[in-house]
Amino acid sequence: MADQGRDPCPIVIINDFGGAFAMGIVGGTIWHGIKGFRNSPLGERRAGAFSAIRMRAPVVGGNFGTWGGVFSTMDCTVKAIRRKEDPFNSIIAGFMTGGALAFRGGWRYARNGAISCGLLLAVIEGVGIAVGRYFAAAQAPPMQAPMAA
Amino acid sequence: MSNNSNILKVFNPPESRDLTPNECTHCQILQTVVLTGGGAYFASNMPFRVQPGQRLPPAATQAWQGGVRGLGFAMLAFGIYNAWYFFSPKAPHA
Repeated sequence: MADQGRDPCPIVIINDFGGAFAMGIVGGTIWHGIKGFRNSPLGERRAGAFSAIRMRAPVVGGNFGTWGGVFSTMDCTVKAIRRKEDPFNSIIAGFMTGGALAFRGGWRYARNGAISCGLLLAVIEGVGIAVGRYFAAAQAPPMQAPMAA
Repeated sequence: MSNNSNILKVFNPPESRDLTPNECTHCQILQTVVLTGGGAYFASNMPFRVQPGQRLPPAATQAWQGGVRGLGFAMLAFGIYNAWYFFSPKAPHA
């Protein structure tokens, strides 16, 4: 049955880009805030933390957003080529994203980026499927005992 | 992010199913745009252009640049074929 509740691909890509950017900003703020606080001298710690956040958090957000946007674009492209919706779409999209973001550094970087990103996505997908099956089995109704003759 | 997210779908995968032709019209349009746009970008050798005074990484050899360019031409050809097929009367959604 067609899933009419889903937005079309371009909207999903913008959605994913924005969501990943926001996650990167939040994570970068926490990470670089703590780092800037720890690396600043006493009396300058708050200013050091704010300075580090101002300098580095948008960069982390941009990197996350780029990854999210490229991944989502690849996912929609793979879906259109395979005309299927299954976990392999995400794994192939992750492989292509890792390669596409690292190809400028040469074939070794592209290969390593593609393989590591594809493996990461495969592990996440595998864990997701395993957890889904476990909960489905736990919530299944108990089998009835056979009728006595 | 809402439920309409390809990233969240990774953590909560939907059931496997085949997509109907009408269901994926927008992804086919996007696929054509990605293939033609990305193919033109790769084929133009723009990714390996550097500012004066900057250097490419040593691993980005001429052979690798040629390979990327070849991939770009292949993507461009596939994208043009896709665009032609999408508007042809043989397309499944037509």
